Amino acid sequence: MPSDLFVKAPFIYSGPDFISFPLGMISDLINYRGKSIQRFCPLTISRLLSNGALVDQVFCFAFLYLKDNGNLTLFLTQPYWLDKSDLQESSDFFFAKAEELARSAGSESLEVEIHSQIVPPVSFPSSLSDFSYDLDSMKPQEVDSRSLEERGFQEEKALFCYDQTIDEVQDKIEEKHGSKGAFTTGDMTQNEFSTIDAQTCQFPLREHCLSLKDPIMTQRMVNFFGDTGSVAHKSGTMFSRRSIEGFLHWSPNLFEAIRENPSPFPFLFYDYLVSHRFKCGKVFRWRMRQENPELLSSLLSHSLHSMKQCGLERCQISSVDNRQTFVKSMLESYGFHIVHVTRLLRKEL
Amino acid sequence: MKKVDCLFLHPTTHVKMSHPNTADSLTYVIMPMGTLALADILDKEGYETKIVHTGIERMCNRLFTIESLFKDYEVSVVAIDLHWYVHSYDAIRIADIVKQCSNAFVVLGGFTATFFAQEILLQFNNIDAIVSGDAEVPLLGLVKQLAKGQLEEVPNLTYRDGTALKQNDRRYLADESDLDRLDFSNFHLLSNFSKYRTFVSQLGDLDPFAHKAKLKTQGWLCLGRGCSMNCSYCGGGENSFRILTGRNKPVYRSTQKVVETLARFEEAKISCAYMDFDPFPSKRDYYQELFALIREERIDISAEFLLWSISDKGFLSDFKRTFNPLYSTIALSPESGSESVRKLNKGFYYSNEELFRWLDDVKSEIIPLQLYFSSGLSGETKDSFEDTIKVGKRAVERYPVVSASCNPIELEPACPRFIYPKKYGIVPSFTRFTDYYDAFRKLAEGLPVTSRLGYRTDWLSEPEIIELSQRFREVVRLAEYEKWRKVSRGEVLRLKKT
Repeated sequence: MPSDLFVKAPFIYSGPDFISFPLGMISDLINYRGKSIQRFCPLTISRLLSNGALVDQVFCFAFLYLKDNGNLTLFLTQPYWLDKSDLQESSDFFFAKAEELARSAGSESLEVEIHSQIVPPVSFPSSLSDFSYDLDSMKPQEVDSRSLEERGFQEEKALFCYDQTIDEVQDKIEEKHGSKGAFTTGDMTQNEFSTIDAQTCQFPLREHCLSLKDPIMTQRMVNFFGDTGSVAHKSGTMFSRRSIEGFLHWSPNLFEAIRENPSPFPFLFYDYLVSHRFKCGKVFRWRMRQENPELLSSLLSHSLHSMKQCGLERCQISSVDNRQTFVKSMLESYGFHIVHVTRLLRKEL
Repeated sequence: MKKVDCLFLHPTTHVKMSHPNTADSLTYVIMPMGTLALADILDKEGYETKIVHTGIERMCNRLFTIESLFKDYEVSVVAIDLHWYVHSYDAIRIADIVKQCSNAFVVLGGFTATFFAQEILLQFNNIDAIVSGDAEVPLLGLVKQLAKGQLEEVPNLTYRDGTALKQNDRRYLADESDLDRLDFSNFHLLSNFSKYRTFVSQLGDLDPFAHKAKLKTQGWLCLGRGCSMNCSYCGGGENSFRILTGRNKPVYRSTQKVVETLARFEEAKISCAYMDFDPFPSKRDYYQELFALIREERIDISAEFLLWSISDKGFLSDFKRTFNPLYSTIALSPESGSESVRKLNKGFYYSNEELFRWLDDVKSEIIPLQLYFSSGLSGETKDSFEDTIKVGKRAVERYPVVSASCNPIELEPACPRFIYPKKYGIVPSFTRFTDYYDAFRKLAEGLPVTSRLGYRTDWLSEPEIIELSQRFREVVRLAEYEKWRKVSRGEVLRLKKT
């Protein structure tokens, strides 16, 4: 990984083995067809000059994951071009290498995440993976989706990230729903999280997630913060019969912390994170059993209250699929607007 | 065949695996930094020069043999580094092969070769000469004079003259201006350099974590030579330098030259510079000047800095604002958690209170930390080692420690414990070069070794010393696991409520 990457495009790595990152190596093994494979395959393409010097062209944090159908996929975070002097050649080489890598690992497909329509602030996490660029600090690099289509990629999904001030949303919710109480919402502890996650993973309304099968997607490090989950039950039912109706899980915007104290692995310095005064929180994981405005407002109200108690001023909600019309219209009615679109493109190999 | 005036061969320690179908483990793979500079001097003088790292070649091609080199090259001089004692067997083994398949003149250099020069030349006929101490001027002199057969003017040289050994009286000791003339970054002279910068880490083994995804590339930065202290276990302390090279005080490279090397590192896509030279911990103005120049020249590189003693907060904040945080770490070797053991063994003493105050500073500066401890120190007992475990455990529990290791100390040639074993309560089993040679030969051949560390202490047997390090690793790893388990389950991180 080029050392100037973090300067040009600050990022946070929040995945497995982050303690080894400063030592220059990370590991997570994935079992596929009886073989144990290294999940991470960071890719740097460099140009060799005639004087022997190397010029880095493009970097991509690539990794393998298991899709829900059990197939192996190589996921490419948005390629970052460090030198654009010969974009065509370096792009050709990069995608050829990525394809070669995917095939050699036995992967059936290649996926790439592209960031577009960035209207700062875009809070942490900004990626579907554990490698999030601080999109506010880096100079956004436009990726021509037509050139990706020419390379055989097809857009699978466009995912929206919404933003609004907490006060504004609270006012709108109050105005629309008052204090009706069809649902009871409370804190979700970290101990409860894995049970609730398993119980709600098939809910029809949920954030987009690369895989429900691969642990790397379900056990993301952003679980690190306590008191950042809200869970909703139906009101009036007996405690023992209370089924879970939905939950929200949010993270403070860690980019704010790394702008003050640059580090790609802020969890290593967690004491510092605890005392940092964050301004923005992002709901990165959310589930609902049904399209019920009151359920969403109840969950949101609880999370917003928690955020506000911690001094946060803005709220974002990410990984909203463009086809989720109910969630989109509800969020828009609460004054949320889109600050970031993630396009997910896929190529079968 | 291509003519090569000087071929540098870097040995790698082979350890035979007990399983018959498993390849030898290749360990201790870092090349002495000076090798590149030595090769560069010859190259600049017009001599055809090449460096081959036998471990890297073997890693790139399991069928690589030293013999195969001599099918391609007609070599006049083969220079083998025997700096670290761990290469005692492999350096001699390589020399044997060279003599079997060529008429090349074989010369050894480095601390171990220097310390045991007479014994090596008496015992091993395949070695023609040994350059003692600083080798830049002597090696160039050797290559120049060899054809004329006039080696008596070559400084620092001990060589075979018929059946006799000759030791030249002329001495060479590099001063600061000499160091400034050296180029430590002529990487194209090293075969497979791109593999070296990626796969060789300070951890010692070649690709020790083959299962891990590699992120960084590393280069070793020469800042100077020498030391001002005498740690009991170190073969590179003040007195050792005096014995080995004649150097009485440390010499620094100029900050300008160091920055030039770093710029070359940057060009060669080395993302992290390893810095291990800190001979005057109480006076670190050299680094203040160096770091300011690095910032001024906008060198973008990470650094792994091995402090020889704790620092003030100013050094840490200076370090932080100078280097790219991607792979930057600070390393410290408290060695022992027992203050009395630390005082007895380390030249640079600090109390545990001072150590933890320094750890607070590192934490507040947001710098990842590596800590090194050891077992088998003089005066150390099983009871006093408990203090080492306590300090290690507390450090990983409370501070941003990315690596806390503990290893049994081995007996380094020329260290105070080697020279004055009684004073330090050491009963050595390695006293001659052949003791080191035999131990590493047995490892390479898969035979049981009688001693791994080369000594026992008045307080602990060798197996006990090894076991203590093992116990440290178990306890401290468990503490580390518990810490991150709690953190990752959200039991620790709670945002403050307003």
